[in-house]
Amino acid sequence: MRLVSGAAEGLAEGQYARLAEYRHQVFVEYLRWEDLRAESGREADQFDRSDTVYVMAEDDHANIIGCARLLPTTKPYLLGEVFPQLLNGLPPPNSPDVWELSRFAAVDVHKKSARSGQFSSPVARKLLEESIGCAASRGAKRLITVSPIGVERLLSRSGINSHRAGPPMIIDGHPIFACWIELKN
Amino acid sequence: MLSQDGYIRITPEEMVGTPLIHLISGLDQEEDKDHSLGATRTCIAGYTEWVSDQPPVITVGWDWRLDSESGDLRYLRTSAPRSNIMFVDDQHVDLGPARTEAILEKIINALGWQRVVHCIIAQRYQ
Repeated sequence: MRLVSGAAEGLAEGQYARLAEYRHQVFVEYLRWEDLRAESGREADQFDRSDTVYVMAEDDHANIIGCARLLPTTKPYLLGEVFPQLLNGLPPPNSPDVWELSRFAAVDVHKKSARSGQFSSPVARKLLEESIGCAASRGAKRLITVSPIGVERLLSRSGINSHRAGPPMIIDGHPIFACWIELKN
Repeated sequence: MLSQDGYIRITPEEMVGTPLIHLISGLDQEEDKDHSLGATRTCIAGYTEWVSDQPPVITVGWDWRLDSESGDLRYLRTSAPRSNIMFVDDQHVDLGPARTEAILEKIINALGWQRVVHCIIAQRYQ
Protein backbone atom coordinates (compact mmCIF):
# COMPACT_ATOMS: atom_id res chain seq x y z
CA MET A 1 0.00 0.00 0.00
CA ARG A 2 1.17 3.49 -0.82
CA LEU A 3 -0.02 6.76 0.71
CA VAL A 4 -0.12 9.91 -1.41
CA SER A 5 -1.06 13.42 -0.35
CA GLY A 6 -1.16 16.93 -1.72
CA ALA A 7 -3.27 19.57 -3.39
CA ALA A 8 -4.85 18.70 -6.73
CA GLU A 9 -2.26 20.48 -8.88
CA GLY A 10 0.54 18.63 -7.11
CA LEU A 11 -0.89 15.17 -7.78
CA ALA A 12 0.27 12.97 -10.63
CA GLU A 13 -1.43 13.36 -14.00
CA GLY A 14 -4.90 11.85 -13.95
CA GLN A 15 -4.80 11.13 -10.23
CA TYR A 16 -7.35 13.77 -9.24
CA ALA A 17 -9.78 12.42 -11.84
CA ARG A 18 -9.29 8.90 -10.51
CA LEU A 19 -9.88 10.18 -6.98
CA ALA A 20 -13.14 11.83 -8.05
CA GLU A 21 -14.26 8.57 -9.68
CA TYR A 22 -13.34 6.62 -6.56
CA ARG A 23 -15.30 9.05 -4.39
CA HIS A 24 -18.34 8.60 -6.63
CA GLN A 25 -18.06 4.83 -6.40
CA VAL A 26 -17.82 4.94 -2.61
CA PHE A 27 -20.06 7.79 -1.50
CA VAL A 28 -22.72 7.62 -4.20
CA GLU A 29 -22.85 4.08 -5.54
CA TYR A 30 -21.92 2.20 -2.38
CA LEU A 31 -23.06 4.48 0.48
CA ARG A 32 -25.99 5.92 -1.53
CA TRP A 33 -25.38 9.59 -0.71
CA GLU A 34 -27.64 10.55 -3.61
CA ASP A 35 -27.14 14.30 -3.19
CA LEU A 36 -23.59 13.79 -4.41
CA ARG A 37 -24.53 11.89 -7.57
CA ALA A 38 -23.03 13.29 -10.77
CA GLU A 39 -23.68 12.22 -14.33
CA SER A 40 -19.97 12.33 -14.99
CA GLY A 41 -19.38 9.60 -12.41
CA ARG A 42 -16.92 11.91 -10.62
CA GLU A 43 -17.81 13.27 -7.18
CA ALA A 44 -16.79 16.80 -6.25
CA ASP A 45 -18.36 19.69 -4.38
CA GLN A 46 -17.70 23.36 -3.73
CA PHE A 47 -15.02 22.49 -1.18
CA ASP A 48 -12.78 20.81 -3.76
CA ARG A 49 -10.62 23.84 -4.46
CA SER A 50 -7.03 24.58 -5.37
CA ASP A 51 -6.05 24.72 -1.69
CA THR A 52 -7.85 21.51 -0.73
CA VAL A 53 -5.45 18.78 0.38
CA TYR A 54 -6.14 15.16 -0.51
CA VAL A 55 -4.81 11.99 1.05
CA MET A 56 -5.08 8.71 -0.82
CA ALA A 57 -4.18 5.10 -0.21
CA GLU A 58 -3.26 3.05 -3.29
CA ASP A 59 -2.79 -0.68 -3.63
CA ASP A 60 0.10 -2.35 -5.43
CA HIS A 61 -1.63 -1.75 -8.78
CA ALA A 62 -2.05 1.99 -8.10
CA ASN A 63 -5.81 1.57 -7.57
CA ILE A 64 -7.18 3.98 -4.99
CA ILE A 65 -8.41 2.06 -1.94
CA GLY A 66 -8.92 4.94 0.47
CA CYS A 67 -9.23 8.70 0.55
CA ALA A 68 -9.57 11.69 2.82
CA ARG A 69 -9.92 15.41 2.30
CA LEU A 70 -8.39 18.19 4.40
CA LEU A 71 -9.51 21.81 4.40
CA PRO A 72 -8.31 24.81 6.42
CA THR A 73 -11.08 26.33 8.56
CA THR A 74 -9.88 29.81 7.59
CA LYS A 75 -11.81 29.36 4.32
CA PRO A 76 -15.25 27.81 3.63
CA TYR A 77 -15.48 24.18 4.66
CA LEU A 78 -18.17 21.51 4.88
CA LEU A 79 -19.00 21.66 8.59
CA GLY A 80 -18.98 25.44 8.72
CA GLU A 81 -21.14 25.94 5.65
CA VAL A 82 -23.46 22.93 5.65
CA PHE A 83 -23.52 21.33 9.13
CA PRO A 84 -22.88 24.06 11.74
CA GLN A 85 -25.74 22.67 13.83
CA LEU A 86 -23.48 19.75 14.76
CA LEU A 87 -21.46 22.10 16.99
CA ASN A 88 -24.08 22.37 19.74
CA GLY A 89 -24.43 26.14 19.42
CA LEU A 90 -20.74 27.00 19.26
CA PRO A 91 -19.56 28.98 16.22
CA PRO A 92 -17.68 26.99 13.56
CA PRO A 93 -13.95 27.22 14.12
CA ASN A 94 -12.02 29.69 12.01
CA SER A 95 -8.34 29.24 12.83
CA PRO A 96 -5.08 28.20 11.16
CA ASP A 97 -4.74 25.74 14.05
CA VAL A 98 -7.88 23.85 13.00
CA TRP A 99 -8.34 21.82 9.81
CA GLU A 100 -11.36 19.81 8.71
CA LEU A 101 -11.19 16.14 7.77
CA SER A 102 -13.95 14.95 5.43
CA ARG A 103 -14.75 12.46 2.65
CA PHE A 104 -12.93 9.75 4.63
CA ALA A 105 -13.27 6.21 3.28
CA ALA A 106 -11.18 3.06 3.05
CA VAL A 107 -13.13 0.79 0.70
CA ASP A 108 -11.47 -1.38 -1.93
CA VAL A 109 -14.05 -1.04 -4.70
CA HIS A 110 -12.22 -3.64 -6.79
CA LYS A 111 -12.86 -6.39 -4.30
CA LYS A 112 -16.04 -8.46 -4.62
CA SER A 113 -16.95 -7.78 -1.05
CA ALA A 114 -16.32 -4.07 -0.60
CA ARG A 115 -18.64 -3.80 2.29
CA SER A 116 -16.50 -5.05 5.10
CA GLY A 117 -13.83 -3.05 6.85
CA GLN A 118 -14.74 0.39 5.61
CA PHE A 119 -13.61 1.90 8.88
CA SER A 120 -11.99 -1.03 10.62
CA SER A 121 -9.25 -2.13 8.25
CA PRO A 122 -5.51 -1.49 8.56
CA VAL A 123 -5.90 0.74 5.49
CA ALA A 124 -8.39 2.92 7.37
CA ARG A 125 -6.05 3.25 10.30
CA LYS A 126 -3.01 4.12 8.18
CA LEU A 127 -5.07 6.56 6.13
CA LEU A 128 -6.22 8.27 9.31
CA GLU A 129 -2.67 8.50 10.65
CA GLU A 130 -1.43 9.91 7.35
CA SER A 131 -4.26 12.46 7.29
CA ILE A 132 -3.42 13.60 10.79
CA GLY A 133 0.28 13.88 9.91
CA CYS A 134 -0.55 15.78 6.73
CA ALA A 135 -2.70 18.29 8.60
CA ALA A 136 -0.11 18.68 11.36
CA SER A 137 2.58 19.45 8.79
CA ARG A 138 0.36 22.31 7.63
CA GLY A 139 0.04 23.80 11.10
CA ALA A 140 -3.03 22.00 12.43
CA LYS A 141 -3.24 21.43 16.17
CA ARG A 142 -6.81 20.10 16.03
CA LEU A 143 -9.00 18.51 13.40
CA ILE A 144 -12.77 18.74 13.17
CA THR A 145 -14.57 16.09 11.21
CA VAL A 146 -18.14 15.41 10.11
CA SER A 147 -18.41 11.68 10.29
CA PRO A 148 -20.69 8.69 10.44
CA ILE A 149 -20.44 6.40 13.42
CA GLY A 150 -17.78 4.24 11.75
CA VAL A 151 -15.19 7.02 11.79
CA GLU A 152 -15.95 7.74 15.43
CA ARG A 153 -15.37 4.07 16.24
CA LEU A 154 -12.13 4.14 14.28
CA LEU A 155 -10.94 7.16 16.25
CA SER A 156 -11.83 5.47 19.50
CA ARG A 157 -10.09 2.19 18.61
CA SER A 158 -7.01 3.97 17.32
CA GLY A 159 -6.34 5.54 20.68
CA ILE A 160 -6.51 8.99 19.11
CA ASN A 161 -7.54 11.76 21.49
CA SER A 162 -10.96 12.67 20.14
CA HIS A 163 -14.40 13.57 21.38
CA ARG A 164 -17.77 14.61 20.05
CA ALA A 165 -18.51 18.25 19.36
CA GLY A 166 -22.25 17.83 19.83
CA PRO A 167 -25.27 15.60 19.34
CA PRO A 168 -25.69 13.79 16.02
CA MET A 169 -27.94 14.69 13.14
CA ILE A 170 -29.93 11.82 11.76
CA ILE A 171 -29.57 11.58 7.98
CA ASP A 172 -31.27 8.74 6.11
CA GLY A 173 -31.79 7.02 9.45
CA HIS A 174 -28.13 7.12 10.47
CA PRO A 175 -26.35 9.41 12.92
CA ILE A 176 -23.75 11.89 11.69
CA PHE A 177 -21.42 13.54 14.20
CA ALA A 178 -18.89 16.32 14.39
CA CYS A 179 -15.81 15.11 16.23
CA TRP A 180 -12.79 16.93 17.51
CA ILE A 181 -9.40 15.28 17.06
CA GLU A 182 -6.64 16.68 19.25
CA LEU A 183 -3.24 16.50 17.60
CA LYS A 184 -1.09 17.78 20.44
CA ASN A 185 0.26 15.27 23.02
CA MET B 1 -20.95 24.36 30.98
CA LEU B 2 -20.23 24.21 27.18
CA SER B 3 -16.56 25.02 26.71
CA GLN B 4 -14.90 26.39 23.59
CA ASP B 5 -13.17 23.05 23.03
CA GLY B 6 -16.59 21.42 22.58
CA TYR B 7 -16.67 19.59 25.90
CA ILE B 8 -19.59 19.97 28.26
CA ARG B 9 -17.96 20.20 31.68
CA ILE B 10 -20.15 18.84 34.43
CA THR B 11 -19.70 17.08 37.76
CA PRO B 12 -20.72 13.43 38.04
CA GLU B 13 -23.43 14.44 40.49
CA GLU B 14 -24.91 16.90 38.02
CA MET B 15 -24.81 14.19 35.35
CA VAL B 16 -26.70 11.73 37.54
CA GLY B 17 -29.40 14.36 37.91
CA THR B 18 -29.62 14.93 34.14
CA PRO B 19 -32.19 12.74 32.37
CA LEU B 20 -30.98 11.06 29.19
CA ILE B 21 -33.49 10.50 26.40
CA HIS B 22 -33.13 7.88 23.71
CA LEU B 23 -32.37 9.43 20.32
CA ILE B 24 -31.78 6.57 17.92
CA SER B 25 -30.62 2.97 17.85
CA GLY B 26 -29.67 0.96 14.83
CA LEU B 27 -28.11 -2.26 13.59
CA ASP B 28 -24.67 -2.59 12.08
CA GLN B 29 -24.33 -4.18 8.67
CA GLU B 30 -22.90 -7.62 9.21
CA GLU B 31 -19.40 -7.91 7.79
CA ASP B 32 -19.24 -10.34 4.92
CA LYS B 33 -18.36 -13.82 6.04
CA ASP B 34 -16.99 -16.84 4.22
CA HIS B 35 -20.02 -19.09 3.72
CA SER B 36 -18.10 -21.83 1.93
CA LEU B 37 -17.87 -23.75 5.19
CA GLY B 38 -21.62 -23.77 5.70
CA ALA B 39 -23.72 -21.98 8.25
CA THR B 40 -22.08 -19.33 10.38
CA ARG B 41 -23.24 -17.69 13.56
CA THR B 42 -24.94 -14.36 12.98
CA CYS B 43 -23.94 -11.51 15.22
CA ILE B 44 -26.63 -8.95 15.87
CA ALA B 45 -24.93 -5.76 16.92
CA GLY B 46 -25.48 -2.06 16.67
CA TYR B 47 -25.33 1.31 18.32
CA THR B 48 -27.52 3.43 20.53
CA GLU B 49 -27.55 7.18 21.04
CA TRP B 50 -28.92 9.16 23.97
CA VAL B 51 -29.14 12.91 24.58
CA SER B 52 -30.13 15.34 27.31
CA ASP B 53 -33.28 17.39 26.80
CA GLN B 54 -31.84 20.84 27.46
CA PRO B 55 -29.22 22.87 25.62
CA PRO B 56 -26.30 22.62 25.47
CA VAL B 57 -27.07 19.04 24.59
CA ILE B 58 -25.21 16.19 26.21
CA THR B 59 -24.69 13.31 23.78
CA VAL B 60 -23.69 9.77 24.75
CA GLY B 61 -23.54 6.73 22.53
CA TRP B 62 -22.18 3.24 22.67
CA ASP B 63 -22.13 -0.05 20.80
CA TRP B 64 -23.97 -3.18 21.82
CA ARG B 65 -24.53 -6.74 20.73
CA LEU B 66 -27.28 -9.23 21.37
CA ASP B 67 -25.98 -12.16 23.37
CA SER B 68 -27.85 -15.46 23.14
CA GLU B 69 -25.15 -17.86 24.28
CA SER B 70 -26.40 -17.98 27.84
CA GLY B 71 -29.83 -19.11 26.69
CA ASP B 72 -31.49 -15.79 27.45
CA LEU B 73 -31.36 -12.83 25.09
CA ARG B 74 -29.28 -10.07 26.61
CA TYR B 75 -28.07 -6.77 25.24
CA LEU B 76 -24.44 -6.22 26.16
CA ARG B 77 -22.53 -2.98 25.84
CA THR B 78 -19.45 -3.66 23.68
CA SER B 79 -17.68 -0.31 23.55
CA ALA B 80 -16.66 2.52 25.78
CA PRO B 81 -19.15 5.38 25.76
CA ARG B 82 -18.59 8.12 23.19
CA SER B 83 -19.67 11.56 24.31
CA ASN B 84 -19.04 15.29 24.53
CA ILE B 85 -18.66 15.14 28.31
CA MET B 86 -15.65 15.96 30.46
CA PHE B 87 -16.37 15.37 34.13
CA VAL B 88 -14.92 17.88 36.57
CA ASP B 89 -14.48 17.83 40.32
CA ASP B 90 -15.90 20.33 42.79
CA GLN B 91 -13.08 22.71 41.92
CA HIS B 92 -13.99 22.46 38.21
CA VAL B 93 -10.75 20.61 37.45
CA ASP B 94 -10.99 18.09 34.62
CA LEU B 95 -11.07 14.48 35.77
CA GLY B 96 -9.66 13.49 32.37
CA PRO B 97 -10.91 11.20 29.59
CA ALA B 98 -10.21 7.89 31.37
CA ARG B 99 -12.05 8.75 34.59
CA THR B 100 -14.85 10.40 32.64
CA GLU B 101 -15.26 7.20 30.65
CA ALA B 102 -15.30 5.04 33.77
CA ILE B 103 -17.95 7.18 35.46
CA LEU B 104 -20.07 7.28 32.32
CA GLU B 105 -19.95 3.49 32.09
CA LYS B 106 -21.45 3.23 35.57
CA ILE B 107 -24.15 5.73 34.67
CA ILE B 108 -24.99 3.82 31.49
CA ASN B 109 -25.07 0.51 33.34
CA ALA B 110 -27.77 1.92 35.62
CA LEU B 111 -29.82 3.39 32.76
CA GLY B 112 -31.98 0.39 31.83
CA TRP B 113 -31.19 1.05 28.17
CA GLN B 114 -31.53 -2.56 27.09
CA ARG B 115 -35.33 -2.55 27.24
CA VAL B 116 -35.54 0.65 25.23
CA VAL B 117 -33.11 -0.57 22.58
CA HIS B 118 -34.93 -3.87 22.27
CA CYS B 119 -38.26 -2.13 21.60
CA ILE B 120 -36.75 0.34 19.16
CA ILE B 121 -34.86 -2.30 17.19
CA ALA B 122 -37.89 -4.58 17.06
CA GLN B 123 -40.02 -1.72 15.70
CA ARG B 124 -37.45 -0.34 13.31
CA TYR B 125 -36.49 -3.62 11.71
CA GLN B 126 -39.73 -5.59 11.79
